[in-house]
Amino acid sequence: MSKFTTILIKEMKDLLRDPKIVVGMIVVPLLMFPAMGAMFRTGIESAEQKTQIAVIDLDNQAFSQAFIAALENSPGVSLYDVDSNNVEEGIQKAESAEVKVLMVIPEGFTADIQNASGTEIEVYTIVEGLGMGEVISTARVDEIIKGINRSLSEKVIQEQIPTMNPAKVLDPITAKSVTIVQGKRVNVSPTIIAGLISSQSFIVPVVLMVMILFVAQMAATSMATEKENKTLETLLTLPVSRISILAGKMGGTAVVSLIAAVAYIIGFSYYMSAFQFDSQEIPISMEDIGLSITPIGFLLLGISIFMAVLAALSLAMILAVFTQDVRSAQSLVSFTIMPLVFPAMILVFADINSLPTALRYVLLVLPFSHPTIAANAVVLKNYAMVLGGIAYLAVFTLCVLYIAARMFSTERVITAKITFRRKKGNRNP
Amino acid sequence: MTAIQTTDLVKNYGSIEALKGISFAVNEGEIFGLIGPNGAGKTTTLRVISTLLEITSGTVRVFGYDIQEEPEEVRKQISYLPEEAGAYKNLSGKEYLKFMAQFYSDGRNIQEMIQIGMSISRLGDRITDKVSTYSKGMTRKLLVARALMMEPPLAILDEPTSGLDVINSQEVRKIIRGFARKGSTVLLSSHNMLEVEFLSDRVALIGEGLILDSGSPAELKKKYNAQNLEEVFMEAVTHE
Repeated sequence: MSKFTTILIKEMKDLLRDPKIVVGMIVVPLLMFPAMGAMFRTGIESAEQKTQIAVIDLDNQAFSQAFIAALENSPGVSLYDVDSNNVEEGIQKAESAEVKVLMVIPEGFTADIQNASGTEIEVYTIVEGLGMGEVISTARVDEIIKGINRSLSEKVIQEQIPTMNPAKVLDPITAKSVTIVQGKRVNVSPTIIAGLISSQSFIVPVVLMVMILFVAQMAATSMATEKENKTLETLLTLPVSRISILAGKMGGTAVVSLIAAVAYIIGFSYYMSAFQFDSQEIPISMEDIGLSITPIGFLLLGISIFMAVLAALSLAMILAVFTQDVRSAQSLVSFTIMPLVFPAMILVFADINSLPTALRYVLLVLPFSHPTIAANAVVLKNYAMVLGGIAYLAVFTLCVLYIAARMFSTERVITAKITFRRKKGNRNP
Repeated sequence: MTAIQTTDLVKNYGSIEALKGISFAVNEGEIFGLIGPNGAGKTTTLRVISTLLEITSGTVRVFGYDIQEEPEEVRKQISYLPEEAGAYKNLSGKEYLKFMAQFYSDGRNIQEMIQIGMSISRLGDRITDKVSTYSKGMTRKLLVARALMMEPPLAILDEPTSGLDVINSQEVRKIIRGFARKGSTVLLSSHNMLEVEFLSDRVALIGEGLILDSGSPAELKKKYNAQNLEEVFMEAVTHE
């Protein structure tokens, strides 16, 4: 076994046996996110249970009966009989039976509709808490009334003008959307295409941000643990090149942080899936609109992400060298890496070319923006942009790696230290 | 053959002069002790010879290899035990020994090295437990075993009995003596001068970054008309 492999395996073993890492970075995301998602789901499902509605019909004519019949046939609604014509008594009865909604159909309801003079029903909603269930019940009642309104309108139109199609009277105009993407015409609205592209462009920055933060934290932990546990000096006097030590530590850290990142992403996707309810399938795929990623695109995107991860690893190793314990290493790395990673999230919402010039240059200078830029560019097959980003990342990564290797080859790996001195003037008397 | 040759060794930390031009030689097969109070420059000397620190001026050769020019060759000759050392807490004692032995496996039997390490550490069944469950004394014995199990040409031991009780200290001293009898060279430091007197063939007295005197314990005691090395050291400081 080569000395590099020996260090790599030790590094993985050491990290994977650390309860803080295993629990905090692997088990918790795998369990916590799905559990949170399940809780949300349970809450929403309980709110989605059938809404009981009580009705007082003071009209008792054709349209009020039609209204009640439509209510009864509405999905997710069950009618409750309050057996009363008095509103106050009806509210009391509904409340005691835990019925949240009471509708009062006024006298003359049918006549008013027939005369097209408009009418009003009273809707009493009993709110006991501020949970999601209350909001959903109210929103559902609004939807039901809207639906019934439409069917009553259709009924009136049919009665008044039997020769006309009520649907065409109510919606005389419909739009047929044709969107031109990259010169290709597709018969869907731009909203659908925007949704499709944003769902794709959201993944890379989020995954990348998680990966880089995990990798950086893990690398800092690995290096700082050596210092905190006083094992670094022994390691540096072993008959193994310093570059092998650095590479072994970086390799082991990368593998463990990738495991942690995968656990995080699996957990997070379970969490997100809790919010997808009866989502309409997008009637078109990226291939249909010529926005699929080719194998070359995937390769270039992979190289870009790999470079970014390598840069984050090296940067974290360098930063950790300046600290004496795990906690200060993690803080220093967070303060340094996060400002380099977060700006890339802008690219989830806006294309790099549509941003103001200054902001565009800031993003181009930040190394961790490039994989996100690449993720959009490979879709649009703008490979020159991707290659430019890779070249920049390669230069940045090589510089950081060189500095890390230099630090490991000199005594600075032992003696470097950042001290936070408090200014005398700031001290409290 | 000379195991270590330091000539006019100077080491500065910024504006602080830790070593002010020290010279001494350690012969192959001997136990050489550096004695002096805390802050005298003992640890800096050992860290320089172990290739951890760069020198400001002067030269250091280990078995003929220059520590600045050929640090990787020097590392093949040495095994360093720092004063404040630790072991990987999430590995067992045996796994730790195996991890370390793998770096010295060129043509050597790893299992044999591990067996020697286990026998030196005298940790019994606890050798398979995680290092995080060890007491300070157990960890130190494991580290001493790690430093000596590969039978390096030169063992550099900084305060080898640091943090150990009397019984464990005695045990470690015996281990070091036994190790040197096999022909290896030992360079050790301690502020416990009686310990160094017991262990060392020759000693160097170090104070404020300078070598005050050197010789065998018997020679030095005779020269300063002293009962032990503690008295020798006090006399040497007074003469300075």
